[in-house]
This record gives sequence, structure tokens and C-alpha cells, in this order.
Amino acid sequence: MRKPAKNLEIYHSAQPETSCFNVQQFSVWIDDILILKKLNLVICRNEIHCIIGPSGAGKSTLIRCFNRICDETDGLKTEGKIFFENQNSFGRAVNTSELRRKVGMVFQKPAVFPKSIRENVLLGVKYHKKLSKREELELVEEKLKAVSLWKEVSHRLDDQARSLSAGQQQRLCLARTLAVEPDVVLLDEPTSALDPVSARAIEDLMLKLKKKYTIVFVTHNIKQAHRIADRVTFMCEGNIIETGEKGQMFNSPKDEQTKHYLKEDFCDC
Amino acid sequence: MSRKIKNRLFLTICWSSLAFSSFVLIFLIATIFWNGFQSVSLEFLILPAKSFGAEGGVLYQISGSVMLVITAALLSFPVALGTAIYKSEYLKNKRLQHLSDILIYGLNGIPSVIFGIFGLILFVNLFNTGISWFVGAIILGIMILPTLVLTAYQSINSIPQHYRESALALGMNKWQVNTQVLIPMGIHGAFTGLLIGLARAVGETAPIMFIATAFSGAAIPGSLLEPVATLPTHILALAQQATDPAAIQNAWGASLVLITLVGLFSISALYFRNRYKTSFAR
Repeated sequence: MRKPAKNLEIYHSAQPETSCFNVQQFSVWIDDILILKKLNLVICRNEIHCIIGPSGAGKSTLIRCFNRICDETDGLKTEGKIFFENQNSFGRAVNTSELRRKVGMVFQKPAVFPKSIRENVLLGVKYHKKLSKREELELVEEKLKAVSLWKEVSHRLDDQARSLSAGQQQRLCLARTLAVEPDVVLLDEPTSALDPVSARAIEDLMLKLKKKYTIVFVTHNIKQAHRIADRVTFMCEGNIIETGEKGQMFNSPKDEQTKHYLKEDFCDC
Repeated sequence: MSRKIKNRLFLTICWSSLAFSSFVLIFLIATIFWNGFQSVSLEFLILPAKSFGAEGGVLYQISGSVMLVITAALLSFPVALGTAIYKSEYLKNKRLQHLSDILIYGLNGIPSVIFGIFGLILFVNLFNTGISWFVGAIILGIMILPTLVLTAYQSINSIPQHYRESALALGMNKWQVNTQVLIPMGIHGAFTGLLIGLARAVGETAPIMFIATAFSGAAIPGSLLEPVATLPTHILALAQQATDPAAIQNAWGASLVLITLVGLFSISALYFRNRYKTSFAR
């Protein structure tokens, strides 16, 4: 149900080496309401890219398009392109399962499946490669260590994952995402349902993980963006108002709206 | 009238409605229990019926009823689960959704005797199966299908969207999400529906009386195309035709056995619902 893309040839293959995603003239409609308005954005490798903005700005809609999980939204139409590894994610030949394996995602609410902790970590990976029992164990340990959960759960891997606290569940979701060996991790307000301590734990993890992964982090918490981001994009009403390095964005934003939002945590656009 | 009196009057009316409806059930069960208790014994449960139901027990009626409903469940459950998954996960068109609802509720509203006639005309006469317990099981399976579909649908459809998305985001395809996530999470609700459906099916008389049952001479069938005896049709035959008071007495006994079976299904449904109730509130 996608509309044919127009006027895009000028951007074609203008992708720099360091870029991971390249969003070009990308628009989204949901039930014929324009949600994202011809966005252009480059997301660089091995950086934490925070997308901030008020509620309803389209942050979640945008991040959900990076791994095509937006396909699950009824009545959603797109126009334009998002290049990932020099391939348009919205092209016809794209295998969404393969795309989503490379572009992992953690959601706002932790959704652990009613299985054991071990099975939760292994749930996705068993469809992508065959593992021996031993490799499975090693993988579970490695990924739970990567999200600093190993110490807390190593003695009860066969317990129901639901017995964990919300903060632990969210880290388990992250471990599950990392287990399929993605290149990118998308996080859609992953800490907004968590207590401040668990939220900090997730933030610390992000800083640790960016060496290996590209991280796109949606948040409405400006302080959080300030703590972890390398690059910040400010969105409002379906437009990208400004994007730039953290220091530049927080110290000398070019746009009045950005300045106002970052200072007052409020936006009247 | 003062507010206090109004309030009290309303409360009394509500209370007596509750008392009345509970009383009806208690009265019914008590009558059956009181009358049936005298004829139910171990022999009654393990002996076949003799002399037109006046002597012996209801062994083959019990085995026939259980066979019918279990086969109906085996036939109906996979179809219902498939329908529920399609309806919940694939059918996005609002109009078709609505149409499927109407059809399912419509099927649920068809009087049970119509199912019996349908089975008689289609299978027994047209396909020439003769009186067959298996045909009875098919018809009972169709009859409980709407209950099963609706409960399975509700339990799968109530799984929050972020579970589906989390699974898809791991690179699982739709089939894997359905079989690995949604069915395991929704199966308990579907199972509760199955037990409720069976509690209803085991007591049904009209759909099977022309097509699946025989009053005498039926034992455990050796093939698909033989008749069985069942508890409800046995009770019907005794109550309608028997003149011997001992046979009437045995009809009470058979009723008690039947109501116990229904009770067993219902209670296990309740148990299942409470035991595996998945709460997504968090």
C-alpha cells in the first residue's frame, strides 16, 4: 500500500561511509493523517543517537520504521526511502525478518514471554542459526552478562521470566535482542516504565554497548539525552527541527524552538 | 418515599432475585440427587443396561457419551483455534470481521434439533452412513464450534500488541510468532472454552438422537459407523417409554450421572480459567 516515491533521485547514493541509516524524504500517513513530513536524517554508526521531542512529535513512528515494525500498524502508508546498509528498507525485495534481525528493537513496556529466563534469551536466535546445547548456554551467559543481569539470575535461569522485576525484565528484553547479533539497537522510550535506578542501569548499558552497536534511542527525557547521547535530533509535529552533535545542540542550538524546548522542556510549535 | 426506604427496597429486590435464581438451581440438583441417589451404585456405573433399562446400569451410556464429546472436541478444537488465529491476526478488513462475527453468532443461535436434522439428511441419508456415532461427534463438534472460536479468539486477541511486536522485532516471522508466542499464551483461554463447550455437548439430546444413538444393543462401537448409547438419549427413552417403575428410577440415576459429568466439565473449566488466568496488567 506504499505510494510510489517521487523526486528522490537527487539523494540517490549520497550515503557517507559512516552512516548506518539514511532517511530520505520520508513521509508517513496513518489513516490518511500525515504523521511524518518528508524527513531527512542520517544516523551514524557506533553512536548513540537520541531522538527527543514532545508527545505526538512522531518519534516513535519514525523509529518503528527503521526495522519495518511499523508494518504492524493498521492504515499506515509511507513514502520516501530509508537506506540501511545501502539498501532501501522499504524496497520490494526486502526480507523483513532479516532486516529485523540486523536491526533489533526494545519497546517501552518490557514484553517477556511466559517462558523461562533462558528460553526468553534464546527465543529469537533459534530461528536464525542452529546452536548446540553448549553454545546455547554460552550465548545466554554472554548476553546476560552484556546487560549486567547475569549475577542476578545465573542461579535461576529456569525460573519464569515474569518473576523478574520490571527493570530486570527490560534488561532481559535487551539481552534477547542482542542474542540475535544485530548491528543496530532501536530503543523506544525503554526507561519510561521503569524506576529511576533501573533507568540509570539501562543508560549505563547504552554507553557500554555503543562500541559494538549503533543505538537509536527515543526519549522524552531531555536530561537522559544529555547523559547518553552523541548526537541529538529534535522533532516536533512530524518535522525534524534540528539535528546535531550533543554539545552543539545543548550549548548553541541554531533553532529557536530547539533552544526553547531544551531549556524549558516545553514546546509550542 | 424516603431515600432510605427506596434504597432498602431496591436492595431487597436484588437480593430476592439472587435468592430465586440460586434456589432454582439448588432445587433442581437436589431433586435429581434425591431421586437418583437411590439407584446409583458401583454396579450401576459398571454394568450395561438390561430389560429396557429396568435392570443393570449405564456403563455403555457413559462410555458412549464420553466418546462422542471427546471426539467432538478433537475435531472441533483445531478448527476453532485456526479460525480464532485467522480472525485475530490476519483478518484486518473491518467488514469481513463483522461478517465473520455475524456468522459465528448465527451458528451459535441455531437450535440444536436443526443440527440433528441436518446430520440426518446430509450424512445418514445422503452419504448413506447409517446411524453412526462418528457422525454424531461431527455434528456435536460443529455445534460447539462457535463457543470455542469465540473464547479462543478473545483469549488470543487480548494479548497486548507489544508481545507480537517484540517477537516480530526479533526477526521471527508471522508463523513463528503465532506458534511460539500467541498460541502458548492464549491456549488456556481456548481450553476453558473447550470445556464449557463440552459441558454443553455432553447433555445435548436433540442433535444426536436421530443420527448417532440406539436405545438398546449398543456397546462400545468397533467402527466409525456404528451407533452408541448415550446418557441423554437413554434418559429420554426411559422417561418417555418405560412403564416399569424400576426403569423410571434408573432414569433418575442416569440423570444424576449426567449432571455429574456436566459438573465435572464445568468445574474443570472454572479451575482452568482461574489457574492460568494470564494477567497482562503491569
